[in-house]
Amino acid sequence: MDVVNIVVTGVGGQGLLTLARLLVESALAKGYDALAAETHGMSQRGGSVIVHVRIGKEVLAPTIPPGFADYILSTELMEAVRNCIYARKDTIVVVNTKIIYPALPGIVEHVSEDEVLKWLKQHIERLYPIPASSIAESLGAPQSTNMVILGAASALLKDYIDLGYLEKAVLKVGRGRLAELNLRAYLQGREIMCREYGVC
Amino acid sequence: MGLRDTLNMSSGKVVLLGNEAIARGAIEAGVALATAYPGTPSTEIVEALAEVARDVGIYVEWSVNEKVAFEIAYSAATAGTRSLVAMKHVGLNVAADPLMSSAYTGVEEGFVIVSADDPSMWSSQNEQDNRIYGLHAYIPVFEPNHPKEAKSLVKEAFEFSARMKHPVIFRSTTRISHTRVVVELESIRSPIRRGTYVKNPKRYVLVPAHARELRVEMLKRWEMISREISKVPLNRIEGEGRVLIVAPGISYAYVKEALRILRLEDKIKLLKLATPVPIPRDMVLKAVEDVEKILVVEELEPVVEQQLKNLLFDEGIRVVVRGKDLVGYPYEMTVDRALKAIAKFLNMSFSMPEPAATQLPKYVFPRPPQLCPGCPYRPLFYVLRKQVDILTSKKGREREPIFCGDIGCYTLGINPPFRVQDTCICMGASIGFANGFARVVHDRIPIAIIGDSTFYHAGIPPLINAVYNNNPLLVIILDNKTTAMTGHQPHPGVGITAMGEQTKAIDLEALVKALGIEWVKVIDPFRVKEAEKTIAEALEYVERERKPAVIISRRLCALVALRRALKAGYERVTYRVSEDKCRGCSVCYSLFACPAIRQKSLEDRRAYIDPELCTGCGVCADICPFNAIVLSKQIDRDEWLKFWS
Repeated sequence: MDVVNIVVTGVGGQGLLTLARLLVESALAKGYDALAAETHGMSQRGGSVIVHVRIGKEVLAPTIPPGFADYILSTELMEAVRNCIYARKDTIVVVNTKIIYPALPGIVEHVSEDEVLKWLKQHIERLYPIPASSIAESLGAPQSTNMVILGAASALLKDYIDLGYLEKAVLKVGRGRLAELNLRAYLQGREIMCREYGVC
Repeated sequence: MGLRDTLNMSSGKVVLLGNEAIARGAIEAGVALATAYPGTPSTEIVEALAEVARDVGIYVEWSVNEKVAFEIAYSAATAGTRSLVAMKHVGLNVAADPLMSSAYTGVEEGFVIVSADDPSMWSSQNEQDNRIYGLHAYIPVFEPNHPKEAKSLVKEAFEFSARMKHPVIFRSTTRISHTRVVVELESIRSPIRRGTYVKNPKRYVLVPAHARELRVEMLKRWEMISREISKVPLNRIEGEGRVLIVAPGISYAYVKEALRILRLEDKIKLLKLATPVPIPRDMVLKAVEDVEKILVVEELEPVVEQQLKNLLFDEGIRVVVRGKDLVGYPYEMTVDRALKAIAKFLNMSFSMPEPAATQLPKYVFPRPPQLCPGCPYRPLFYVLRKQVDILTSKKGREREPIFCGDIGCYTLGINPPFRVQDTCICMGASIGFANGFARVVHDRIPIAIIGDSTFYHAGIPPLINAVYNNNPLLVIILDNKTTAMTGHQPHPGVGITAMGEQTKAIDLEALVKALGIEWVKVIDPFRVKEAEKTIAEALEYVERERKPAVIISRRLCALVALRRALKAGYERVTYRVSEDKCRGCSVCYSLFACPAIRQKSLEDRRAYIDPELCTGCGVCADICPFNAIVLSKQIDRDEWLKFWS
C-alpha cells in the first residue's frame, strides 16, 4: 500500500467533517499517517461538500487528483454521481440511496433514485448502495445518516483503520441519547454491509 | 477528548486541524495575547486559543474588525508581549494601514501576523496573494510546506520576529488551515510578557522627522533579515541533479507527490522554501550551482519566481527559469497541475488513470450553498421580494430597488426565488454602495442588506455618511446575534466575549438613532404580515422624505437556536403537511423555498416536509394559504420559539 484515497462527499450539514475526522483518527490509531482536507464557510450551507481523506505511511498532497480515488463514501446519491470524476472503474463506492434536492425552484429536474443507481452501476464495478437515511430515520435519528455510511464503509477499510478505536470514537460524537443513537446507526451500517454484501 | 483537553496535553501524537496546529504552535512558542476578526479560512486559530486561554494564562479576543485586532496585537508587541493576530487574506486589506507602519517601528517582542489566504476562493471574494504584502511592507513571510509543519513553523516565526524585533507574516492557505493532520505535541512555554511599558516616542511616533530615519533603519534591518532567513531550518535543498524545482509553501507537497508518480524523486534537485519573502539568498545561490534549468511551482502570483529571476540577473547567472508560463496563475495547486507542468518542463509524457465516466448525466443539478431551514433571513427575503414585486407591478420594473449586499450568509439571497443581492463587494460595502447609488440613480431606492457582525465591523462609518450627506437609502440590518457564516463567534452585539465573559451588549437601536437616523424600526421576520407592512412603510418614507431609514430584523440564527434547544434537553420540533388540505399551490417550496420542503413526487404537486431537514421555525405554516402545514406533535409553539430569541 502506498496511499489510500477516500473521497467523502454529501450535502453540507450531513456531518461529513465528523465522518472524515473519525477516519483520520482511527487511521492514526492503526499506526498510519493520515489527513483530511476540508472546506468550510460558504460550502457548508447546504451545498455540495467534498472532504479528501488520505491514509498511508507518509501522506504528501492534501487533495486527491481526478481518477485517483480508491473509495467514494457518499451520504447522498447525486453527490456520488457528481464526484465520479475522482473515480476509476474499479473505485469502490458506498452510497446512501436518498436524493436531497436543493431549493432552486424551476431549475432542478426530478429523477428517480433507481435511474441514478442504474447509471452508477454502469460506471462503477463495486457499488454498495445503502438505504442510510431510511435506517437512520427508523432509529429515530435522521441526523445519524453519516454514521450508517461510516459503519458500512468500516468493514471495507479495516486494513487501514482501527475498528476498536472507531467504535469508541463514534460513541463520543454527541451527548447522551444522541451518542447511543449514533453508535446504533454505525452498527446497523456494519450489519447491512455484512448481511447484504458479505463484507463483514 | 475535546479540543480543550488536547491543546492542554504536554506531549503525544494527535489529530489537529491545520488552524488548531497553528494555535498550538503559538502556545508552544509562549504567545501571551491573540486577537482576530473571524473569517474563513482563518477562524479556528483564535477560536482554539480562546478554548484554552484561561488554562495557559493568555488573553484572547474577537476584535470588532481586523484593523483593531491588528493594532491591539501590534501595540502589545511594542510593550514586550509576544502576540499574534489572525485574519483571512482580505482582512489584511482592512489592516493594511497599521501593517505598513509596523515595519517602520519594529516591535520589542515576537509579533506574528497570520494571513489565511484562500486560493480557489472556496469562501472569498478574491484570491489575492498576501505574500506580496510582505514585499510591499518589508515584512518577511513564512509559509508551511505541509499542514504538518504549520506548528513548528509558527514557533520559528515567533523566534525570528523576536530576534529581529520585526513583525513576521505567517501565511497559511485553505489547504493548510483546513486540513486535519497528525501532529506531534511538544511542551508548552509559559506566556512571554513584560507587563510594563518603556516609552520611546522617537521610535513609535511616526511624525515625518522620525519616519524618515526609521525608513533607513528598516532597510538596514531588511538586509539583515535577508541574510538570516537562510538559517530557518524548514528551508532546505533536497536531492541532486542538473534540474532544479523550486517549491514554496504547500506547492512543495504537491510537487513531491507528482515526482513520486513520475518516478523522478532521486533525479531532480528540489528547493523546499518555507520563507517565500524574502527568498533565502545564500541558500538559493547554493541550490542553483551547476543547474541547467529551473522550474518554480507556486500558487497564484510569481512572488518567488520574480525574486529568483532578479537575483540570478544581478549575480550574472544565466539559466532558464520557467514558472507561471507552465503552471498558470489562477486557483489552488493540485497534483495533476504539478504533474502537467513538470512533464512539460522535462518534455516527458504521462497518462492519468482512465476515469469511471467522461460525462455526467444531464439530470445532475447544481447544488449551491443555501440558507439553512429555519434561517430568519428566508422569511425576511420572502417578504422583501413580495413587497418589491408589488411596488414594481405599480411603478414598473425599472423602478425595482437596487439590493446592495454584503459579506455573510445573506449573500445567498442572490439565488432564486429571492434575487435580493445586486452587489457584494467587501465588508461594509452594502451601505457604501447605497450612498453612491442614492446620488446617481434617481429612479431606484438603494436597499443595503447587512448582517449585525458586518455592521459593527465596517457598516457604521458609511451609515454616518448617509446621515451627514443626507442620502436617501434603506438599510436592513439582519440581527441574528452571531457571526454565522464563520461558525457562530460572538460580536459586540451579543454580550459575551471570546473567553466566555459576560459583557455589555451594544444597543443597536440606540446606536443607529444616535447616528442621527430618524426612522428606525425593529421587526420580527417570523411575523410575516407585520414585516410586510414595515418594509412598505420604510420604502415610502425614503421616497417621500429623501432621508436614510433603518430596519433591524431580529431573530437568532437557526443553528444557534437549535443548539440551545437540544442543550436544554428539547427534542427537535418538526412540521408536516396535512395532505387532505394541501392543494399543491407550491408557495412553500417555490416562493418561500425552504430546503426542507419539496414537491411530493414528480406527478404530485403537493408539498412534503423532510423530517431530516425541518427545524420547526413554523413560518411555512403561517404563509400557507390553506392552513395545510401543521406541527408533527403537540407542543406550544412559543415555548419552542423562545430558543430563537
